[in-house]
Amino acid sequence: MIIAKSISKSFGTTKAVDNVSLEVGKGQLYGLLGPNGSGKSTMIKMLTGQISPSSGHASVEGIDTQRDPIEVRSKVGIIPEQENPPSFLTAGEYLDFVAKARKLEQYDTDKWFTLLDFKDQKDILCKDLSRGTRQKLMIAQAFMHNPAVAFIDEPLINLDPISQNTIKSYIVDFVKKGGTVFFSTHVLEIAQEICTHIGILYKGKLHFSGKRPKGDLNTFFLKQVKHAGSD
Amino acid sequence: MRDLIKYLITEEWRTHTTLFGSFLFVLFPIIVILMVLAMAVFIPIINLMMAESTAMLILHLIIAFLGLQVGAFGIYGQEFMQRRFGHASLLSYSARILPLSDRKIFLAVVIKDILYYFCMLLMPIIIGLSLITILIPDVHIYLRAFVPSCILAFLMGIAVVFFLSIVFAHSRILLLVAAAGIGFLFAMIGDFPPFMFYMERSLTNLLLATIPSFILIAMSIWFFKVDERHEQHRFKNQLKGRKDLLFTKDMIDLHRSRGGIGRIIFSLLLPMAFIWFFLKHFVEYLSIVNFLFLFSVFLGVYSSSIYNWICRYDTYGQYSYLPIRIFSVILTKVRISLALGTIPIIIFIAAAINEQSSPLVVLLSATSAAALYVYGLAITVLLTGLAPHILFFNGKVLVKYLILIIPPPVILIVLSVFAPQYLFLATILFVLSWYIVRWGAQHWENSEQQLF
Ligand SMILES: Nc1ncnc2c1ncn2[C@@H]1O[C@H](COP(=O)(O)OP(=O)(O)O)[C@@H](O)[C@H]1O
Ligand SMILES: [Mg+2]
Repeated sequence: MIIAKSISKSFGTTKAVDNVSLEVGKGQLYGLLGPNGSGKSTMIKMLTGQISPSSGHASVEGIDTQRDPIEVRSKVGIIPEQENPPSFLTAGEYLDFVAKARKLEQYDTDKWFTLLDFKDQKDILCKDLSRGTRQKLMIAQAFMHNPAVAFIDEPLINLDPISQNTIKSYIVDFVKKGGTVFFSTHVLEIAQEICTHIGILYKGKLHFSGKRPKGDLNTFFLKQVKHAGSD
Repeated sequence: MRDLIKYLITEEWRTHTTLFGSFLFVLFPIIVILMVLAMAVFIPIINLMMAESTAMLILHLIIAFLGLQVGAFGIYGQEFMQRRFGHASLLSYSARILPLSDRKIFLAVVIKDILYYFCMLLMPIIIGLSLITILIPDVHIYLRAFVPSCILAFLMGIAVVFFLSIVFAHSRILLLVAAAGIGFLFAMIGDFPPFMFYMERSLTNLLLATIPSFILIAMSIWFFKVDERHEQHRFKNQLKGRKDLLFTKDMIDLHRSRGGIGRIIFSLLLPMAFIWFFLKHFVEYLSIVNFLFLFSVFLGVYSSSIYNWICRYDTYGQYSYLPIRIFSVILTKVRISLALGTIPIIIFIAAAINEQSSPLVVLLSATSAAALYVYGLAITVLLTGLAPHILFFNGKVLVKYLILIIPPPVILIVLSVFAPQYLFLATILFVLSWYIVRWGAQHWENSEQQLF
């Protein structure tokens, strides 16, 4: 369960997120939609305790993200906007690194290399990996501790169709098995394809949050933000 | 090309101003001006100590030294670019969408850095010195010659270290050859060309002061090693089964990054060699201070910049999404810095052997150097957390740093002259530093995490 209660975040004079309240229930595949700069990443960072809100509260699985950010981060899986794992670790080492940082007693990194089909890249430095492979690595990283909730910031951007498919089907599968996913994107098609619920964020304000409406998302999106666009 | 430089400068400006506001950023050069003005109090002493031309030579050398400080682009340029552009993704991406080679992009980064340091450092110094010349009738700096000669000295410092750092990225043996070559060249000229130009504005001197710099910079760009886009470095897993996670990771970074420890050694050796010669000169005039002691004080304070280097290898953003506390990351980097304290220790041993000082002097010097090293680390941690290379350009941070960092070495130097029996008090700094580090790390843990 993800809950945000009137959270806002300002950077200097920029109000990146403005008084947003939302709830995401267990088993939802929630897509936060909005154009670039609308505050999606900021929202995800607040929900995962990477930055603290200027005002308001958020909690994930009952843990207050501001009071106990480390606990939130150890519970959930997060794929940040920039898939930028430590440059000088190899892919294999990176997964070991994550497992240790998460204090996992037992883990199997090989399983992930097989599952996402990039075993041959295991000993290559993260900085030398292609973008698609790095995304796969980030998927493994975020899901290897079997979290109940995952946050993904702009998945599938700039990926080749094959990697896109691998990752998309992994996410859908994860939700089918009872997981909750909160992701952000500015590509409406992805949301249209896989989301059960959506939120529409525009200029820091939430214009809609709920079940994904039937029909064309583009039209729906434009209708929701129309009156906001005129100011 | 020009657009690229413009873009880079805009980006630099934005990074800094969004981080701590344009006011504090602009404050930095103003503080430099004020610091130069504050130096004016030493003018009477300097006048007593040396001839005006000697003072001017030293001034030029100091400015060249600043150039040395900022010019090591080559050695970290590559990783810097990878970090900045996200390696394969953006660097080659921009190379693909813009019709530019990696070398051109690198050149743009170098030009941007030179411009950046020119505005932040050199220009305020020149302004400060000009103000001194105008305000204090005792000082006779001939500004019309000094401004260009000063810029040339700065450029020469940059060019030398830039070239050496590029050579270093290729081969360590070649570095020795190149360094010897440059040393030989200066020995042949027998003087510092930009200073010669200040003393006598002839065409020969102008050429001597400019051409070497341009040749070195041109060769550096030419030799710049472009990482093949498809080059993939493979390594066996060295993390498995290790207990000390963050420490091991940082050590791996240090080993695998180009230059690695070598670049830290490099960043210490050159400046310390410069300080060595400078202090030798100085102590000749002011024989009441012990040379080894004075050198050790500088060594200790200066070496604490190792921490800045260590913070460049990664960014907290690379694992801010994991349950890793900033507190632990900072403490790890402090431990790495302490481990790398071996480098200044070796420099110290070399100095001590060279000086053949008495055991007591060696002991006191070593203790003071170590204490100042640890103290310098602590203050850096307290004021800049994981981002020393960015936050030191915040005027307020810089002022605080200077206020905190200067008194201990000054007190120790004064003690060494008037009451050496109290020098053991330096050990207090060890305890103090320990608390400052813990306190500082906790402070950064609690404050908003900037994802550099
Ligand atoms: N660390 C930061 N400092 C200053 N401004 C920021 C920072 N992070 C985000 N912003 C600003 O907040 C707004 C929302 O950004 P972001 O959350 O990244 O949007 P999105 O992910 O939807 O593209 C933008 O105007 C951006 O410039
Ligand atoms: Mg974003």
